[in-house]
Amino acid sequence: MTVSPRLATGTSSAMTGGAVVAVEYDHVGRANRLARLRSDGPFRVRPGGSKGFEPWTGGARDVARVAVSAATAGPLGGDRLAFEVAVGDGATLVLVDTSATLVLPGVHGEPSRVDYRVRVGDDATLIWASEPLIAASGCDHTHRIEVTLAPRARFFLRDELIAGRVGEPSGNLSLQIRVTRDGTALFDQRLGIGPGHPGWDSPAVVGNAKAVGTMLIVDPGSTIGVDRADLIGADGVSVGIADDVVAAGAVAADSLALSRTLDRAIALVGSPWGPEPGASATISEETP
Amino acid sequence: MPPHRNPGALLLLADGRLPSGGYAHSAGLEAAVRLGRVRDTDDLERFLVGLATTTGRVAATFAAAACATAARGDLDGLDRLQSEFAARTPSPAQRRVASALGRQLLRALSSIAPHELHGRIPDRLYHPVAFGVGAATLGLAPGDASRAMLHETLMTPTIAAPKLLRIDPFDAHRAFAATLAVADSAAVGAARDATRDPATFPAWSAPLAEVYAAQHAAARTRLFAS
Repeated sequence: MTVSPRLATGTSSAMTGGAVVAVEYDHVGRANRLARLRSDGPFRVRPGGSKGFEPWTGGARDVARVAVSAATAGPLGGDRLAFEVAVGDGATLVLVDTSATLVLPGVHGEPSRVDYRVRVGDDATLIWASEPLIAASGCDHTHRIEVTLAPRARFFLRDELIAGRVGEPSGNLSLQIRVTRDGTALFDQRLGIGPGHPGWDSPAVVGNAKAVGTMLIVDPGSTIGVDRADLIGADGVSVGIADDVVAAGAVAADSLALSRTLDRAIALVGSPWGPEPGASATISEETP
Repeated sequence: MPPHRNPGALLLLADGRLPSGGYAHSAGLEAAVRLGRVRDTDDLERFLVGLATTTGRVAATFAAAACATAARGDLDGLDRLQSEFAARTPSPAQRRVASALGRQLLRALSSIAPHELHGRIPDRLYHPVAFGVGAATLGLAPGDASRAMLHETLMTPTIAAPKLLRIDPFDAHRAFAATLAVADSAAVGAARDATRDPATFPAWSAPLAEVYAAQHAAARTRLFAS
Protein backbone atom coordinates (compact mmCIF):
# COMPACT_ATOMS: atom_id res chain seq x y z
CA MET A 1 0.00 0.00 0.00
CA THR A 2 1.31 3.40 -0.91
CA VAL A 3 0.55 6.81 0.46
CA SER A 4 -1.78 8.68 -1.80
CA PRO A 5 -0.56 11.88 -3.42
CA ARG A 6 -3.92 13.29 -2.31
CA LEU A 7 -2.83 12.96 1.29
CA ALA A 8 0.73 13.99 0.71
CA THR A 9 -0.29 17.28 -0.86
CA GLY A 10 -3.20 17.82 1.48
CA THR A 11 -5.58 18.53 -1.38
CA SER A 12 -9.15 17.37 -1.28
CA SER A 13 -9.88 15.33 -4.36
CA ALA A 14 -12.54 12.85 -3.41
CA MET A 15 -13.12 10.29 -6.11
CA THR A 16 -16.40 9.30 -7.68
CA GLY A 17 -15.12 6.64 -10.06
CA GLY A 18 -15.19 2.89 -9.88
CA ALA A 19 -14.82 -0.18 -12.00
CA VAL A 20 -16.74 -2.44 -14.34
CA VAL A 21 -15.94 -6.10 -14.94
CA ALA A 22 -18.19 -8.04 -17.29
CA VAL A 23 -17.61 -11.59 -18.48
CA GLU A 24 -19.56 -13.45 -21.13
CA TYR A 25 -19.41 -17.02 -22.30
CA ASP A 26 -18.85 -17.32 -26.01
CA HIS A 27 -20.72 -20.47 -27.01
CA VAL A 28 -19.21 -20.50 -30.50
CA GLY A 29 -15.58 -20.17 -29.40
CA ARG A 30 -16.35 -22.07 -26.17
CA ALA A 31 -14.45 -19.58 -24.06
CA ASN A 32 -15.01 -16.93 -21.43
CA ARG A 33 -14.52 -13.45 -22.77
CA LEU A 34 -13.94 -10.23 -20.82
CA ALA A 35 -16.66 -8.14 -22.41
CA ARG A 36 -15.89 -5.04 -20.35
CA LEU A 37 -12.97 -4.20 -18.13
CA ARG A 38 -12.41 -0.65 -17.07
CA SER A 39 -11.65 1.28 -13.92
CA ASP A 40 -10.78 4.69 -12.61
CA GLY A 41 -10.21 6.12 -9.17
CA PRO A 42 -8.43 3.97 -6.61
CA PHE A 43 -9.23 0.64 -8.29
CA ARG A 44 -7.29 -0.94 -11.10
CA VAL A 45 -8.72 -4.06 -12.74
CA ARG A 46 -6.68 -6.23 -15.06
CA PRO A 47 -6.73 -9.79 -16.34
CA GLY A 48 -5.02 -11.97 -13.77
CA GLY A 49 -3.44 -15.38 -13.73
CA SER A 50 -4.31 -18.44 -11.72
CA LYS A 51 -3.29 -18.32 -8.08
CA GLY A 52 -2.74 -22.05 -8.12
CA PHE A 53 -5.16 -24.48 -6.50
CA GLU A 54 -8.65 -23.62 -7.75
CA PRO A 55 -10.79 -26.71 -7.23
CA TRP A 56 -14.04 -24.73 -7.59
CA THR A 57 -13.51 -24.03 -11.26
CA GLY A 58 -13.66 -27.76 -11.91
CA GLY A 59 -10.24 -27.81 -13.53
CA ALA A 60 -11.41 -25.60 -16.40
CA ARG A 61 -8.48 -23.69 -17.83
CA ASP A 62 -10.34 -21.04 -19.74
CA VAL A 63 -12.06 -19.30 -16.82
CA ALA A 64 -11.81 -15.53 -16.79
CA ARG A 65 -9.59 -14.15 -14.06
CA VAL A 66 -9.52 -10.55 -12.98
CA ALA A 67 -7.28 -9.02 -10.33
CA VAL A 68 -8.25 -5.85 -8.52
CA SER A 69 -5.36 -3.75 -7.31
CA ALA A 70 -4.97 -0.32 -5.79
CA ALA A 71 -4.08 2.48 -8.18
CA THR A 72 -3.92 4.89 -5.24
CA ALA A 73 -4.47 4.63 -1.52
CA GLY A 74 -7.95 4.34 -0.23
CA PRO A 75 -10.84 4.45 -0.35
CA LEU A 76 -10.33 7.80 1.36
CA GLY A 77 -12.85 9.95 3.18
CA GLY A 78 -15.14 11.64 0.66
CA ASP A 79 -14.75 8.93 -2.00
CA ARG A 80 -17.95 7.56 -3.50
CA LEU A 81 -17.15 4.60 -5.67
CA ALA A 82 -19.19 2.11 -7.66
CA PHE A 83 -17.97 -1.34 -8.64
CA GLU A 84 -20.00 -3.37 -11.09
CA VAL A 85 -19.50 -7.07 -11.80
CA ALA A 86 -21.54 -8.99 -14.38
CA VAL A 87 -21.08 -12.68 -15.10
CA GLY A 88 -23.22 -13.73 -18.06
CA ASP A 89 -25.09 -17.03 -18.38
CA GLY A 90 -22.66 -19.94 -18.45
CA ALA A 91 -19.55 -17.83 -17.80
CA THR A 92 -17.00 -18.26 -15.00
CA LEU A 93 -15.10 -15.43 -13.34
CA VAL A 94 -12.50 -15.61 -10.60
CA LEU A 95 -12.16 -12.17 -9.02
CA VAL A 96 -9.25 -11.59 -6.63
CA ASP A 97 -7.61 -8.68 -4.85
CA THR A 98 -3.85 -8.31 -5.12
CA SER A 99 -3.54 -6.95 -1.59
CA ALA A 100 -5.48 -5.93 1.49
CA THR A 101 -7.40 -2.64 1.29
CA LEU A 102 -6.62 0.03 3.84
CA VAL A 103 -9.59 2.33 4.34
CA LEU A 104 -8.32 5.76 5.40
CA PRO A 105 -9.96 8.91 6.71
CA GLY A 106 -9.84 11.82 4.30
CA VAL A 107 -8.22 15.11 5.20
CA HIS A 108 -11.66 16.59 5.91
CA GLY A 109 -13.03 13.64 7.88
CA GLU A 110 -15.81 12.97 5.38
CA PRO A 111 -17.42 9.53 5.05
CA SER A 112 -16.51 7.27 2.14
CA ARG A 113 -18.57 4.64 0.41
CA VAL A 114 -18.16 1.84 -2.10
CA ASP A 115 -21.19 0.18 -3.69
CA TYR A 116 -20.75 -3.15 -5.43
CA ARG A 117 -23.46 -4.36 -7.79
CA VAL A 118 -22.93 -7.95 -8.78
CA ARG A 119 -24.99 -10.04 -11.19
CA VAL A 120 -24.43 -13.74 -11.82
CA GLY A 121 -26.41 -15.50 -14.54
CA ASP A 122 -27.74 -19.04 -14.87
CA ASP A 123 -25.07 -21.76 -14.92
CA ALA A 124 -22.53 -19.01 -14.32
CA THR A 125 -19.94 -19.00 -11.53
CA LEU A 126 -18.42 -16.11 -9.63
CA ILE A 127 -15.58 -16.88 -7.25
CA TRP A 128 -14.81 -13.72 -5.34
CA ALA A 129 -11.90 -14.10 -2.96
CA SER A 130 -11.26 -10.66 -1.60
CA GLU A 131 -8.41 -9.69 0.69
CA PRO A 132 -9.01 -8.05 4.10
CA LEU A 133 -10.53 -4.63 4.46
CA ILE A 134 -8.67 -2.73 7.17
CA ALA A 135 -10.49 0.08 9.01
CA ALA A 136 -7.70 2.56 9.76
CA SER A 137 -8.30 4.69 12.83
CA GLY A 138 -10.54 7.66 12.02
CA CYS A 139 -12.08 6.28 8.84
CA ASP A 140 -15.84 6.38 8.33
CA HIS A 141 -16.62 3.95 5.56
CA THR A 142 -19.61 2.08 4.18
CA HIS A 143 -19.08 -0.96 2.01
CA ARG A 144 -22.21 -2.36 0.41
CA ILE A 145 -22.30 -5.49 -1.72
CA GLU A 146 -25.52 -6.27 -3.53
CA VAL A 147 -25.55 -9.59 -5.34
CA THR A 148 -28.30 -10.68 -7.73
CA LEU A 149 -28.18 -14.39 -8.51
CA ALA A 150 -30.07 -16.20 -11.23
CA PRO A 151 -31.75 -19.43 -10.00
CA ARG A 152 -28.82 -21.59 -11.21
CA ALA A 153 -25.93 -19.22 -10.40
CA ARG A 154 -22.92 -20.48 -8.42
CA PHE A 155 -21.30 -18.03 -6.07
CA PHE A 156 -18.45 -17.88 -3.59
CA LEU A 157 -17.67 -14.87 -1.44
CA ARG A 158 -15.22 -14.36 1.36
CA ASP A 159 -14.84 -11.11 3.26
CA GLU A 160 -12.62 -10.17 6.16
CA LEU A 161 -12.71 -6.96 8.20
CA ILE A 162 -9.81 -5.87 10.37
CA ALA A 163 -10.52 -3.42 13.19
CA GLY A 164 -7.62 -0.99 12.76
CA ARG A 165 -3.95 -1.48 11.99
CA VAL A 166 -1.71 -3.04 14.63
CA GLY A 167 -1.82 -1.00 17.82
CA GLU A 168 -4.47 1.51 16.75
CA PRO A 169 -8.19 1.69 17.55
CA SER A 170 -10.60 0.78 14.79
CA GLY A 171 -12.12 3.33 12.46
CA ASN A 172 -15.81 3.14 11.57
CA LEU A 173 -16.55 0.61 8.91
CA SER A 174 -19.77 -1.08 7.94
CA LEU A 175 -20.03 -3.96 5.53
CA GLN A 176 -23.40 -5.02 4.17
CA ILE A 177 -23.81 -8.09 2.01
CA ARG A 178 -27.24 -8.62 0.49
CA VAL A 179 -27.80 -11.56 -1.80
CA THR A 180 -31.02 -12.26 -3.65
CA ARG A 181 -31.69 -15.35 -5.73
CA ASP A 182 -34.46 -15.51 -8.28
CA GLY A 183 -35.84 -12.30 -6.79
CA THR A 184 -36.03 -13.54 -3.17
CA ALA A 185 -33.77 -12.42 -0.32
CA LEU A 186 -31.29 -15.19 0.53
CA PHE A 187 -28.76 -13.48 2.82
CA ASP A 188 -28.71 -9.95 4.17
CA GLN A 189 -26.23 -9.10 6.88
CA ARG A 190 -24.62 -5.86 7.90
CA LEU A 191 -21.83 -5.53 10.40
CA GLY A 192 -20.56 -2.26 11.78
CA ILE A 193 -17.25 -1.96 13.62
CA GLY A 194 -15.64 1.03 15.30
CA PRO A 195 -16.74 3.62 17.86
CA GLY A 196 -19.49 4.97 15.57
CA HIS A 197 -21.34 1.67 15.91
CA PRO A 198 -22.36 1.45 19.60
CA GLY A 199 -22.27 -2.07 20.93
CA TRP A 200 -19.92 -3.38 18.24
CA ASP A 201 -17.40 -4.59 20.84
CA SER A 202 -20.21 -6.17 22.89
CA PRO A 203 -19.78 -9.84 23.82
CA ALA A 204 -22.91 -10.43 21.67
CA VAL A 205 -21.39 -8.87 18.53
CA VAL A 206 -17.61 -8.95 17.96
CA GLY A 207 -16.28 -8.80 21.52
CA ASN A 208 -12.60 -8.01 21.79
CA ALA A 209 -11.81 -9.53 18.40
CA LYS A 210 -9.68 -7.61 15.93
CA ALA A 211 -10.85 -9.55 12.86
CA VAL A 212 -14.27 -10.67 11.71
CA GLY A 213 -15.16 -12.52 8.56
CA THR A 214 -17.92 -14.01 6.46
CA MET A 215 -17.99 -16.69 3.84
CA LEU A 216 -20.88 -17.61 1.59
CA ILE A 217 -21.17 -20.48 -0.88
CA VAL A 218 -24.16 -20.92 -3.17
CA ASP A 219 -23.97 -24.16 -5.15
CA PRO A 220 -27.25 -25.02 -6.88
CA GLY A 221 -28.06 -28.69 -7.10
CA SER A 222 -25.68 -29.57 -4.28
CA THR A 223 -26.59 -30.55 -0.72
CA ILE A 224 -23.79 -28.60 0.97
CA GLY A 225 -26.21 -26.86 3.35
CA VAL A 226 -28.31 -29.83 4.47
CA ASP A 227 -28.11 -30.17 8.28
CA ARG A 228 -24.83 -28.25 8.37
CA ALA A 229 -23.92 -26.69 11.72
CA ASP A 230 -20.12 -26.84 11.98
CA LEU A 231 -18.60 -25.35 15.12
CA ILE A 232 -15.14 -24.06 14.29
CA GLY A 233 -13.27 -23.46 17.50
CA ALA A 234 -15.11 -21.27 20.01
CA ASP A 235 -15.45 -18.28 17.68
CA GLY A 236 -16.63 -19.59 14.33
CA VAL A 237 -19.65 -21.31 12.87
CA SER A 238 -20.57 -22.58 9.44
CA VAL A 239 -24.21 -23.36 8.75
CA GLY A 240 -26.57 -24.32 5.99
CA ILE A 241 -29.02 -21.51 5.27
CA ALA A 242 -30.64 -23.48 2.45
CA ASP A 243 -30.05 -27.00 1.11
CA ASP A 244 -27.50 -25.66 -1.37
CA VAL A 245 -26.17 -22.64 0.53
CA VAL A 246 -23.57 -22.42 3.31
CA ALA A 247 -22.79 -19.30 5.33
CA ALA A 248 -19.89 -19.08 7.76
CA GLY A 249 -19.06 -16.36 10.23
CA ALA A 250 -16.17 -15.99 12.61
CA VAL A 251 -14.33 -13.56 14.84
CA ALA A 252 -10.64 -13.85 15.67
CA ALA A 253 -7.76 -12.13 17.39
CA ASP A 254 -6.09 -11.31 14.08
CA SER A 255 -6.27 -11.76 10.33
CA LEU A 256 -4.20 -14.94 10.31
CA ALA A 257 -6.38 -16.68 12.89
CA LEU A 258 -9.50 -15.58 11.01
CA SER A 259 -8.12 -16.96 7.74
CA ARG A 260 -7.48 -20.31 9.37
CA THR A 261 -11.03 -20.45 10.72
CA LEU A 262 -12.59 -19.65 7.34
CA ASP A 263 -10.21 -22.09 5.59
CA ARG A 264 -11.42 -24.74 7.99
CA ALA A 265 -15.05 -23.86 7.22
CA ILE A 266 -14.36 -24.29 3.50
CA ALA A 267 -12.53 -27.57 4.06
CA LEU A 268 -15.53 -28.95 5.95
CA VAL A 269 -17.87 -28.11 3.07
CA GLY A 270 -15.87 -30.64 1.06
CA SER A 271 -15.32 -31.14 -2.63
CA PRO A 272 -15.16 -29.17 -4.84
CA TRP A 273 -14.98 -26.19 -2.48
CA GLY A 274 -12.37 -27.61 -0.18
CA PRO A 275 -10.69 -30.93 0.50
CA GLU A 276 -13.02 -33.71 1.50
CA PRO A 277 -13.38 -33.72 5.29
CA GLY A 278 -10.83 -36.13 6.67
CA ALA A 279 -8.89 -36.23 3.41
CA SER A 280 -5.97 -34.54 5.10
CA ALA A 281 -4.58 -35.58 8.44
CA THR A 282 -3.47 -31.99 9.04
CA ILE A 283 -6.99 -30.68 8.75
CA SER A 284 -8.45 -33.41 10.94
CA GLU A 285 -5.96 -32.64 13.67
CA GLU A 286 -7.10 -29.02 13.75
CA THR A 287 -10.50 -30.11 14.96
CA PRO A 288 -10.96 -28.41 18.34
CA MET B 1 -44.96 10.51 21.22
CA PRO B 2 -48.72 10.18 20.96
CA PRO B 3 -50.49 8.64 23.96
CA HIS B 4 -50.95 4.89 23.73
CA ARG B 5 -54.33 3.88 22.45
CA ASN B 6 -54.40 0.73 24.50
CA PRO B 7 -52.00 1.11 27.42
CA GLY B 8 -53.35 -2.00 29.12
CA ALA B 9 -52.80 -4.11 26.01
CA LEU B 10 -49.21 -2.87 25.71
CA LEU B 11 -48.54 -3.89 29.32
CA LEU B 12 -50.11 -7.29 28.68
CA LEU B 13 -47.91 -7.94 25.64
CA ALA B 14 -44.70 -6.69 27.28
CA ASP B 15 -45.21 -8.47 30.60
CA GLY B 16 -42.74 -11.30 31.12
CA ARG B 17 -45.45 -13.20 32.99
CA LEU B 18 -47.42 -13.62 29.74
CA PRO B 19 -47.39 -17.41 29.28
CA SER B 20 -45.66 -17.36 25.90
CA GLY B 21 -42.56 -19.41 26.69
CA GLY B 22 -39.94 -16.64 26.70
CA TYR B 23 -38.89 -17.43 30.27
CA ALA B 24 -37.31 -20.67 29.04
CA HIS B 25 -34.77 -18.80 26.90
CA SER B 26 -31.58 -16.82 27.56
CA ALA B 27 -31.02 -15.42 24.02
CA GLY B 28 -27.51 -16.81 23.84
CA LEU B 29 -26.45 -15.65 27.28
CA GLU B 30 -26.02 -19.19 28.62
CA ALA B 31 -23.48 -20.07 25.89
CA ALA B 32 -21.79 -16.67 26.27
CA VAL B 33 -21.31 -17.38 29.98
CA ARG B 34 -20.09 -20.90 29.32
CA LEU B 35 -17.54 -19.61 26.78
CA GLY B 36 -16.32 -17.04 29.31
CA ARG B 37 -17.37 -14.01 27.30
CA VAL B 38 -19.88 -12.74 29.90
CA ARG B 39 -18.63 -12.86 33.49
CA ASP B 40 -20.25 -10.01 35.46
CA THR B 41 -22.83 -7.22 35.45
CA ASP B 42 -20.72 -4.95 33.22
CA ASP B 43 -20.38 -7.70 30.63
CA LEU B 44 -24.14 -8.30 30.83
CA GLU B 45 -24.79 -4.61 30.15
CA ARG B 46 -22.48 -4.68 27.10
CA PHE B 47 -24.15 -7.89 25.94
CA LEU B 48 -27.56 -6.17 26.12
CA VAL B 49 -26.34 -3.03 24.30
CA GLY B 50 -24.95 -5.24 21.52
CA LEU B 51 -28.31 -6.98 21.12
CA ALA B 52 -30.22 -3.67 21.17
CA THR B 53 -28.16 -2.14 18.36
CA THR B 54 -28.02 -5.24 16.12
CA THR B 55 -30.46 -8.14 16.11
CA GLY B 56 -32.77 -6.39 18.57
CA ARG B 57 -33.03 -3.41 16.25
CA VAL B 58 -33.77 -5.77 13.36
CA ALA B 59 -36.41 -7.68 15.37
CA ALA B 60 -38.07 -4.43 16.44
CA THR B 61 -38.27 -3.29 12.81
CA PHE B 62 -39.93 -6.53 11.74
CA ALA B 63 -42.34 -6.38 14.70
CA ALA B 64 -43.42 -2.84 13.77
CA ALA B 65 -43.78 -3.75 10.10
CA ALA B 66 -45.72 -6.94 10.90
CA CYS B 67 -48.07 -4.93 13.15
CA ALA B 68 -48.89 -2.51 10.32
CA THR B 69 -49.06 -5.32 7.74
CA ALA B 70 -51.39 -7.46 9.86
CA ALA B 71 -53.59 -4.48 10.74
CA ARG B 72 -54.37 -4.01 7.06
CA GLY B 73 -54.87 -7.76 6.55
CA ASP B 74 -51.99 -8.08 4.08
CA LEU B 75 -51.09 -11.79 4.31
CA ASP B 76 -48.73 -11.64 1.30
CA GLY B 77 -46.93 -8.83 3.10
CA LEU B 78 -46.38 -11.15 6.09
CA ASP B 79 -44.84 -13.77 3.77
CA ARG B 80 -42.46 -11.14 2.45
CA LEU B 81 -41.48 -10.20 6.02
CA GLN B 82 -40.85 -13.87 6.79
CA SER B 83 -38.36 -14.28 3.93
CA GLU B 84 -36.62 -10.98 4.63
CA PHE B 85 -36.29 -11.90 8.31
CA ALA B 86 -34.88 -15.34 7.40
CA ALA B 87 -32.27 -13.65 5.16
CA ARG B 88 -31.19 -11.63 8.21
CA THR B 89 -31.11 -14.73 10.43
CA PRO B 90 -28.67 -17.11 8.78
CA SER B 91 -28.30 -19.25 11.91
CA PRO B 92 -30.56 -22.32 11.67
CA ALA B 93 -30.53 -22.55 15.48
CA GLN B 94 -31.76 -18.96 15.79
CA ARG B 95 -34.42 -19.59 13.12
CA ARG B 96 -35.67 -22.63 15.03
CA VAL B 97 -35.90 -20.63 18.26
CA ALA B 98 -37.64 -17.75 16.48
CA SER B 99 -40.18 -20.17 14.99
CA ALA B 100 -40.86 -21.86 18.31
CA LEU B 101 -41.30 -18.57 20.17
CA GLY B 102 -43.53 -17.20 17.41
CA ARG B 103 -45.78 -20.25 17.51
CA GLN B 104 -46.02 -20.19 21.31
CA LEU B 105 -46.82 -16.48 21.42
CA LEU B 106 -49.63 -16.68 18.88
CA ARG B 107 -51.05 -19.78 20.52
CA ALA B 108 -51.13 -17.94 23.85
CA LEU B 109 -52.66 -14.78 22.40
CA SER B 110 -55.31 -16.58 20.36
CA SER B 111 -56.53 -18.13 23.60
CA ILE B 112 -56.12 -15.06 25.81
CA ALA B 113 -57.47 -12.42 23.41
CA PRO B 114 -59.23 -14.08 20.44
CA HIS B 115 -59.22 -12.07 17.22
CA GLU B 116 -60.47 -12.99 13.73
CA LEU B 117 -56.93 -12.54 12.36
CA HIS B 118 -55.69 -15.56 14.33
CA GLY B 119 -57.69 -17.86 12.07
CA ARG B 120 -56.23 -16.41 8.87
CA ILE B 121 -52.53 -15.92 9.49
CA PRO B 122 -49.93 -18.59 8.62
CA ASP B 123 -49.28 -20.92 11.57
CA ARG B 124 -45.50 -20.57 11.33
CA LEU B 125 -44.24 -17.05 11.89
CA TYR B 126 -40.86 -15.99 13.25
CA HIS B 127 -41.06 -14.41 16.69
CA PRO B 128 -40.71 -10.73 15.63
CA VAL B 129 -43.31 -11.18 12.88
CA ALA B 130 -45.64 -13.05 15.26
CA PHE B 131 -45.02 -10.37 17.89
CA GLY B 132 -46.11 -7.65 15.47
CA VAL B 133 -49.18 -9.64 14.45
CA GLY B 134 -50.01 -10.14 18.13
CA ALA B 135 -49.64 -6.42 18.74
CA ALA B 136 -52.06 -5.73 15.87
CA THR B 137 -54.64 -8.14 17.27
CA LEU B 138 -54.43 -6.26 20.58
CA GLY B 139 -55.09 -2.96 18.79
CA LEU B 140 -51.56 -1.66 19.30
CA ALA B 141 -49.64 0.64 16.97
CA PRO B 142 -46.37 -0.26 15.13
CA GLY B 143 -44.37 1.97 17.50
CA ASP B 144 -45.73 0.00 20.46
CA ALA B 145 -44.78 -3.27 18.76
CA SER B 146 -41.18 -2.15 18.18
CA ARG B 147 -40.75 -0.89 21.76
CA ALA B 148 -42.28 -4.01 23.30
CA MET B 149 -40.17 -6.25 21.02
CA LEU B 150 -36.96 -4.58 22.21
CA HIS B 151 -38.14 -4.88 25.80
CA GLU B 152 -38.76 -8.61 25.29
CA THR B 153 -35.42 -9.10 23.50
CA LEU B 154 -33.43 -7.49 26.31
CA MET B 155 -35.52 -8.75 29.22
CA THR B 156 -35.08 -12.40 28.19
CA PRO B 157 -31.31 -12.53 28.95
CA THR B 158 -31.77 -10.12 31.88
CA ILE B 159 -34.10 -12.52 33.67
CA ALA B 160 -31.86 -15.47 32.80
CA ALA B 161 -28.69 -13.76 34.06
CA PRO B 162 -29.03 -14.42 37.84
CA LYS B 163 -29.43 -18.14 37.07
CA LEU B 164 -26.21 -18.16 35.01
CA LEU B 165 -23.91 -15.67 36.72
CA ARG B 166 -22.96 -14.86 40.29
CA ILE B 167 -25.13 -11.74 40.24
CA ASP B 168 -28.46 -11.01 41.90
CA PRO B 169 -31.68 -9.77 40.24
CA PHE B 170 -30.87 -6.17 41.26
CA ASP B 171 -27.57 -6.36 39.35
CA ALA B 172 -29.29 -7.84 36.32
CA HIS B 173 -31.99 -5.18 36.28
CA ARG B 174 -29.36 -2.48 36.80
CA ALA B 175 -27.69 -3.67 33.59
CA PHE B 176 -31.08 -3.62 31.87
CA ALA B 177 -31.87 -0.11 33.12
CA ALA B 178 -28.51 1.14 31.84
CA THR B 179 -29.54 0.16 28.30
CA LEU B 180 -32.89 1.99 28.33
CA ALA B 181 -31.70 5.01 26.33
CA VAL B 182 -30.07 2.79 23.68
CA ALA B 183 -33.18 0.61 23.50
CA ASP B 184 -35.52 3.60 23.23
CA SER B 185 -33.49 5.07 20.42
CA ALA B 186 -33.33 1.68 18.63
CA ALA B 187 -37.12 1.30 18.98
CA VAL B 188 -37.80 4.73 17.51
CA GLY B 189 -35.38 4.05 14.64
CA ALA B 190 -36.99 0.64 14.06
CA ALA B 191 -40.51 2.10 13.87
CA ARG B 192 -39.27 4.64 11.33
CA ASP B 193 -37.42 2.02 9.24
CA ALA B 194 -40.49 -0.26 9.29
CA THR B 195 -42.38 2.06 6.93
CA ARG B 196 -39.89 1.39 4.11
CA ASP B 197 -39.61 -1.46 1.62
CA PRO B 198 -38.66 -4.61 3.65
CA ALA B 199 -35.69 -5.16 1.29
CA THR B 200 -34.12 -2.04 2.82
CA PHE B 201 -34.82 -2.93 6.46
CA PRO B 202 -31.84 -2.88 8.81
CA ALA B 203 -29.73 -6.03 8.66
CA TRP B 204 -27.35 -5.51 11.61
CA SER B 205 -25.77 -8.79 12.57
CA ALA B 206 -24.27 -10.13 15.78
CA PRO B 207 -21.60 -12.70 14.79
CA LEU B 208 -20.94 -13.92 18.34
CA ALA B 209 -24.66 -14.36 19.04
CA GLU B 210 -24.75 -16.71 16.03
CA VAL B 211 -21.82 -18.64 17.45
CA TYR B 212 -23.61 -18.88 20.82
CA ALA B 213 -26.78 -20.19 19.18
CA ALA B 214 -24.86 -22.95 17.40
CA GLN B 215 -22.78 -23.81 20.49
CA HIS B 216 -25.90 -23.94 22.65
CA ALA B 217 -27.77 -26.19 20.21
CA ALA B 218 -24.83 -28.61 20.28
CA ALA B 219 -24.34 -28.52 24.07
CA ARG B 220 -25.06 -31.74 25.93
CA THR B 221 -26.46 -30.09 29.03
CA ARG B 222 -28.28 -26.79 29.13
CA LEU B 223 -30.43 -24.82 31.50
CA PHE B 224 -32.26 -22.73 28.91
CA ALA B 225 -33.78 -23.62 25.54
CA SER B 226 -31.59 -21.01 23.83
